[in-house]
Amino acid sequence: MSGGTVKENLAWCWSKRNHVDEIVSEVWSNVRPGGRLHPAWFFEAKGHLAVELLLFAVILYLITRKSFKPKKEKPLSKAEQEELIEDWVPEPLAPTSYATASDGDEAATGLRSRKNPPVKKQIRYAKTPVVKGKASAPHVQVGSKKVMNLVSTNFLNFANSEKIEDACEKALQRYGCGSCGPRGFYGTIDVHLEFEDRMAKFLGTEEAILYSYDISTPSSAIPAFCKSGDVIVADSGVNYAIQSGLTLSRSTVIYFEHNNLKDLERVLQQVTGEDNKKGKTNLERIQRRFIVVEGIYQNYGDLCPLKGVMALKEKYNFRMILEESLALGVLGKSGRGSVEHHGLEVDQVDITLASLGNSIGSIGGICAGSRRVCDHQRLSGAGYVFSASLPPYLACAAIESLNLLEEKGPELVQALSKKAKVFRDLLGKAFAKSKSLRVHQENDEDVLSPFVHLKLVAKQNSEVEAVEVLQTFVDAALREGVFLSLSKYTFLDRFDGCQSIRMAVNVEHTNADLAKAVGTLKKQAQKLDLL
Amino acid sequence: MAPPNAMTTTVTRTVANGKGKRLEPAGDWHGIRRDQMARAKGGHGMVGQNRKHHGGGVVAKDVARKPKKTNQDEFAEVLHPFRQSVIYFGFVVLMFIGHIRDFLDGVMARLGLDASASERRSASNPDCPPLVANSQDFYTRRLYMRIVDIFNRPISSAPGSWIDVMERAREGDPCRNHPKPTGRTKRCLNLGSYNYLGFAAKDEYCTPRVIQTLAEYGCSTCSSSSDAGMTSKHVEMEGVVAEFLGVESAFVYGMGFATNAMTIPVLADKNTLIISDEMNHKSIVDGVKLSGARVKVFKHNNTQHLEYILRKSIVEGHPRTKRPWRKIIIIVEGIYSMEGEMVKLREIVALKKKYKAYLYLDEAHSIGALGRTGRGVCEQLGVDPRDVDVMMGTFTKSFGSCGGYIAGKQEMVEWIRSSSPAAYYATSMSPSAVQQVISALKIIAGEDGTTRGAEKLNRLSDNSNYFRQELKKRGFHVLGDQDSPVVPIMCYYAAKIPALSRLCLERGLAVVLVGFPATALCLSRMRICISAAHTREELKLAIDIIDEIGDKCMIKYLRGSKKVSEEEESYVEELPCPPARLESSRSI
Repeated sequence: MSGGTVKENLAWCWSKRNHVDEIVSEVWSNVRPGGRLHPAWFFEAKGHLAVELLLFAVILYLITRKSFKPKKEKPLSKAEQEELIEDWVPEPLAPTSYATASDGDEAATGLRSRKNPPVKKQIRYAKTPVVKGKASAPHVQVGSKKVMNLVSTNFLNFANSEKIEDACEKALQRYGCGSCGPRGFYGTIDVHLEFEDRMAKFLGTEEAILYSYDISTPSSAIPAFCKSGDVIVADSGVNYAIQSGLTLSRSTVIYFEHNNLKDLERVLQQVTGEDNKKGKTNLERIQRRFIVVEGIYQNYGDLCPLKGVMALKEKYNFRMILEESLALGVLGKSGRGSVEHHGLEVDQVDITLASLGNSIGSIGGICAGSRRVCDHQRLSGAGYVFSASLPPYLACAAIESLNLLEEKGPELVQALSKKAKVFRDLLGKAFAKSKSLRVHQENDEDVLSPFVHLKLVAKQNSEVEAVEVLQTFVDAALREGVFLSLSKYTFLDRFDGCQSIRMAVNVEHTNADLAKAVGTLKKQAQKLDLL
Repeated sequence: MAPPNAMTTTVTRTVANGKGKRLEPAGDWHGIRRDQMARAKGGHGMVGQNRKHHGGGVVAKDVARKPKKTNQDEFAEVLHPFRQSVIYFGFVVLMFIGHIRDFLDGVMARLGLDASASERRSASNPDCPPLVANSQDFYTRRLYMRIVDIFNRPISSAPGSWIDVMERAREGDPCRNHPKPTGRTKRCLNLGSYNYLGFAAKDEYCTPRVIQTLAEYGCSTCSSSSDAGMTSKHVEMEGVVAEFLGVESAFVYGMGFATNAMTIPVLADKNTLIISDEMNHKSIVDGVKLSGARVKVFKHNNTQHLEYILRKSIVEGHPRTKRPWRKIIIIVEGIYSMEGEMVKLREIVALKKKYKAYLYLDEAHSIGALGRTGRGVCEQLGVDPRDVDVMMGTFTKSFGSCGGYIAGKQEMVEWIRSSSPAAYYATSMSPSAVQQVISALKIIAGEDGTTRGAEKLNRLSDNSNYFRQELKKRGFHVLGDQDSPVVPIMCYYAAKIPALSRLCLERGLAVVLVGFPATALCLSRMRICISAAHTREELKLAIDIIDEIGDKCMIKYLRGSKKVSEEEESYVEELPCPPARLESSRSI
């Protein structure tokens, strides 16, 4: 049947109509592999060209056809841009809205989660009256009146001492006033080196380094060591200078409840939890971990349970950053701070920070530690490298303070702690039954702190109202001859404790002074219905 | 390009003939002024004559059409690829040797032969990771420590025009130990301190008053400026400062660095855009970081780039939320401390007005040092200080004190006073330092009954211009604008830093040398700060010494270019009186 037209084939099939098997075998011979109707034969006979051509045509079609694209916006024309620029109205540079008494509720509850903090508004505090003459003296001139000064943190009355004034005068004669340059550019004056040396010897550390301002000390020293990827565990009551250092470091910061060792341990376990499971991980080898606490808390006026913190620190292999601004010259037998007071070793604390603006009676800040700690900051501490150095006369004042501390430190410190105890006892008794005001004192040890917070514990509608209540009290006290101050916070500060009044005892205040002051406070509180 | 000399010469002649005579501001006054500046900078005076400076758009176009020769162009001329590769090669060699030493140290420590290896570990808990990782301070240990003797040189005198530099000697391993003072000192001419007006040392007017204040107010208030730290002295000073600056109000901080770092966070929040010059100081960078604001950086002093960013930001809004920015703050400095250049304030103020942004001007180096009456870069460039929203400056430099200020509109200053962390948590400025500022400002204003202030200001700009021109004549590549007391001399090679510094010290010059990371890797420089306390003889001496050392160290990169030196010479002859006097007298 091979070949032939369709008609001939059909005719042949008709002739074979009684032998179906022949027809079937004939058809099969054509269709089976090798037959002329088999697809392989088709391809052998250049049939693939047709298929390829077809494919090519399809591809060509797919390529050339307009695919579906969402229509793209044209870039803004110049006129449209101008319009947008014209329309844009910026907010005023300085916010004009301060916190008011009515927007209190969420602030008063004090619940501020880390992830979604409500925008805090700045409270507008009343202006403190201007002091004439020495602001650090135990009694100061305000207006035409001499009032008792419970504001200045001049605990040991060094800022007022004649010896220090003499030293300053000599320095001013010799060096002039300013240092006219950062430490790197001929701003290092011999008295700076002398002070650093003396301070290190006094604290018992290998070295100390002098910053020219207290608030810039933690915010420079902490970011010099803590980098992103490191973990910092900090007390939730730390002051703003430390907070800014923590922010600048970009490390992971975890806060634990103020002075709560159990909470601290929980946090430390949480941080080190990963390590214990897998043995010594790579993370543990490279991740630096720090605990940040203050010797005496600026925001509470209480002591840190440093012994307990230190034990946990050693147990969980953390490093310790200790802020001693208020503790230096106040705690310890000879005024060497919390480490001496709690009977710890100096090298257990890795980085010690302190302000010179309190007991030392000068201005500036120090960071003390091992040689390596201090050396590293001489190139990486922003406030050290990029700022003018401390005026030499203030460094001389600080040296003279150290002289005084070394000379009669133990007596002074003892006298101060006695005064603090007297004041705290009197104040505590006076306000023992008060439902509104309470002296912040959690531990027995806190009586040593000459920095007292009188908290407003009565529930107020808003922070602003609380501030107003306290402000009337402060004003009334000033009229009666006792100069107090509110503890004031910026809206940047994450601290969210009670509003309070701060008082600082000067060693030169006599017991009679203190008793009189407490008497006045009690009387005024009674008048204002705060007792 | 218009021929550069036609108008310039006529004007400069007028100046030369009638010293101090007021020039009526002709139409193109500022164009001329800039032209002179360009010539003084060692450019070729190719800046157009017909500049118009009113309206921001015009400015940007203008700049685009006739680009002024920037520092970058000049760098590119000197820093040809071969030179650049040599500088890089120097660093590569140092790094290589450093790594070998690190490796050997590691081996020694492992063998227990190196006692100091344990130093890197905490004594009390040896299991902690090191406080500073090896890689983190590699640069410090292996590069910086090699030449540590030329940095942080201590002095044992007031930082006046002559200082006693303490001699130091190195002991032990130079990569670990800092040099120790030997007790000897060397008297050197001070070209490093920011003692612009010469208030650093004891002063017959200031010092007695400062000491009197010390007796009356004590050396420290031991309290913050929101509490008892605000004494009557501080109140007086804030008034004096605001009046001096010509603004409504001022607030004073106890430290210049903290002024920036603690002010910016209360002005900017996360919905604010900060546009910052790339050469801005670290304190500004820290302040911006603390604020949590978005930041965009514009090329140094490049108003065209600034305008581009401004337009783009306003049009596009916040990159995440797409909402419009709440506010935009431009932060610039008056004089850039490493470049000696003045900010292009006129153009930036025009842009700021056009785009409704706020301007934050850091006058740390320019306040007291620029302008006819020392009122800073605004006076120098004829800008109304009320057009600048936040005026910031320090008292450390020109006034020989410490601290800084924020000044501007009453409302803004009140906001900062009531919200700045430094107002609540930092000790207020020392009363004696406050008095120093008040006295210095009185001298500058002539309220002390003498003309010392005006003389000081005159001498400062004369000295700066003289010094800069003389160095240029000798073929040094000097940066910075006319009248700017900061005179950076380029030495490019980081390897030349120690040689230059040590040779200068040997010959009795105390100079500052800066390299990476304060500058770019290839742009090391010697920075000289001129003071009004320097006499002409002292400056001549300094120039002779630098000339000699420049030959020795081969840093006279522009000696070949004859055109520059000729132009400079004619310029100096024609212009004995710096033009700043004229312009500033007009504006304020």
